[in-house]
Amino acid sequence: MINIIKASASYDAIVIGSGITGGWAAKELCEKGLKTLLLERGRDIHHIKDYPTANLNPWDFEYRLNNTTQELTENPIRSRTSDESDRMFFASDVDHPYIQQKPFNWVRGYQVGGRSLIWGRQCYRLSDLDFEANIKEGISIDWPIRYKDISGWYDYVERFIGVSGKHENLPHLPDGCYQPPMELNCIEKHLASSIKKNEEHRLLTIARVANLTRGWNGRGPCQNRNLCTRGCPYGGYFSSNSATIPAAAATGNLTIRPFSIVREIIYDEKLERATGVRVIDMNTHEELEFNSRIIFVNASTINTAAILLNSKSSRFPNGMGNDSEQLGHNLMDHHSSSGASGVYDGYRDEYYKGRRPCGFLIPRFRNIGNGTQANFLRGYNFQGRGEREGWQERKDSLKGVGSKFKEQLTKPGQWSVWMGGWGECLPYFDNKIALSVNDKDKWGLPLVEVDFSFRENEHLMMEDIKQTGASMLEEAGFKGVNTFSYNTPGGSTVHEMGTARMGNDPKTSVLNKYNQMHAVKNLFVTDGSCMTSSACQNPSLTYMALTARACDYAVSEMKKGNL
Amino acid sequence: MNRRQVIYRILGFSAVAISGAGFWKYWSIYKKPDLLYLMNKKSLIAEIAETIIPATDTPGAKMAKVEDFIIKMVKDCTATKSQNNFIKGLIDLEDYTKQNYNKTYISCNANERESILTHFENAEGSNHLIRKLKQKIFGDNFFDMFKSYTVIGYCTSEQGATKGLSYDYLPSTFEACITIGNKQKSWATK
Repeated sequence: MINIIKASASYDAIVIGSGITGGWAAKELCEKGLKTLLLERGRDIHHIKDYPTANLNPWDFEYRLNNTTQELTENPIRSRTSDESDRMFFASDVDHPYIQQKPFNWVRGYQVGGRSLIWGRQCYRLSDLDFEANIKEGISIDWPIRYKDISGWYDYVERFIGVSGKHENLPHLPDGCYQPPMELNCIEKHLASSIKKNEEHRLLTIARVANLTRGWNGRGPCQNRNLCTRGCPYGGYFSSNSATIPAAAATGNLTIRPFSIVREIIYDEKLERATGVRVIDMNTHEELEFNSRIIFVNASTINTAAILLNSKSSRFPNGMGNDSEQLGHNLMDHHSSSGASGVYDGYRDEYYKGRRPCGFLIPRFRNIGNGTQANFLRGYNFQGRGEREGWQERKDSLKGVGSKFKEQLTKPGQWSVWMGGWGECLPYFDNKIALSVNDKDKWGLPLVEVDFSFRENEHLMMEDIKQTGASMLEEAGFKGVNTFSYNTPGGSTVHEMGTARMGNDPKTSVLNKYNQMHAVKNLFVTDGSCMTSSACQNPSLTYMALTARACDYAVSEMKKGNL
Repeated sequence: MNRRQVIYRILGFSAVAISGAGFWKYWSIYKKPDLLYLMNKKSLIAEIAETIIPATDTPGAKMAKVEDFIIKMVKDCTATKSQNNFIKGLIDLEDYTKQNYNKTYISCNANERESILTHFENAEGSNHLIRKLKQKIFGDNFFDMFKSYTVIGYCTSEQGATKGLSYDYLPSTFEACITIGNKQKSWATK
């Protein structure tokens, strides 16, 4: 055993993980006056300064944004979602192995800011349709909160991060506090008006995104470069690096410690509290201990569950707070691999200028009222975009060579629309993560085993997505309508959640309605692992709102002397 | 016979074909590709790319140095089977040119060059399903790869992106619907 260095400094709060929720926890706790230690397993990333590729042209990259066969072979997960321009913000599969009981794409961002640097930026609120679904249908357990408990926190978060979007007055997709929306292009407007005319319960609207259409809190506006995942030197979109961490640092209460892999959370049996965390320095492999009054775990769904499972004591032989035996279970991820596409002959004189960093949204329309019932539970939304085909699409379809070929290739092609269904995934107990008994990583920590698959309800939904998507395009006069099912494994939507769920009953859940661990009151979990069901909305906004709410509760409990 | 049965049937025939051709065929697609050969054929590669995307009122493939990109892609971004197809394709192209025109590709005029490439483009047949199956078993075919790499190399080069296409380095604003004329080039990046 390596010497454990007792860190001399003690903190009011420790936050584990600096991604989208860890950044929020750090900001809120620091602003409320708590001396806060923010632990991050990866390296430090400073806003702007550490975005080395942000201003490069395609020809500045050795492989022009193609992955080499070596990269594809060594890093099959990382190379699915990244290339030369943003690879530095995706964790290497080689350095960070995990075990797939069934194929599962676990996309990770191990650096300060985590995946907030590379997220999809879609911001949709959940509603009571989502919060009440489990109890109404007898699935899993009830959410311990309703929309009224979180709506003010959605406001609070949206006002800080800056979200552009359009009000649509839908009860099941509540409006928020928005900057002016981004704009639909010709073909998207065409599809929107066809849907409005033909489909009673449906509409097409511009995506609600954390890309700024106006300057906001010293950031932005978005320059419409659509290079977000490289990090934005204009601060055009929200990330921990551009917004919450600077706000936390400005209080003077923040200490960031990068290269800190949390091994376990320490539990004191007498005090019945978590007293601190044991950390392995990524570079030196030294072990260190840090202590604090409260702890927020924001390591991202799978890693949060792994840390808690690895935090064993005689009180918690199966992992901290795991009296319910639910820890690590109920893993969910949205499916987004089926949909439809088509081309449209027309609007030949119309084009667009600029690269809008988002597409459109067709909010959920299944199982929300009369006439919308389907042969599956819950629902999905469509996310897609319209554009004129470019060389990227036509390099393999345009026949011929020579000047005529060149002329066709370099002219704007047909208008096309691609749209995929983002679908809810039910919580299944045996979709889970566990710790390997035998295999360890280079820091001696047990490897994570992921065992996940989509089931019948999700597959029925995928079929409906294909048919419904195709018929909306056909109604709008699209040609060559094509449906697809990429059959990508779980994890591919990068919305993993549910491994330490909230609930009213400690016997069936890990966290209470304030994201506070039932069995360890000074420990809070506010990343995706807290989710009791997945809804079909992109989840980060909800995680952020729950985090801000939990911080408010934690500090008020501290002030009352309860923590 | 449904679609799946058709696929199995074709796969079955292919399997027979592979075993019939024997070890040599296996070796020829999985052997270590002769990448040095590629370097020696750089000027040929440049000329083929230029035939695909010639200089017109805007730069062509040669001005964009597409040959360097193609060689890099074949060396570092192409699976072994496809690498061998690429090299074999170059040799076939030279043989075909010699047999039919009795000279080298580089000494052919523009029309002859286009005819040669059209021959190779059509040689793969137009049945999409069979083409895809063949690629799955034997790797990407020579001409599809060549053309695709040429287009990528050209459209992502400074010459191609800024002169052959429209390149908007810093759009600032997004204009959702603009009216365009006949001369409008498509955007180089999305």
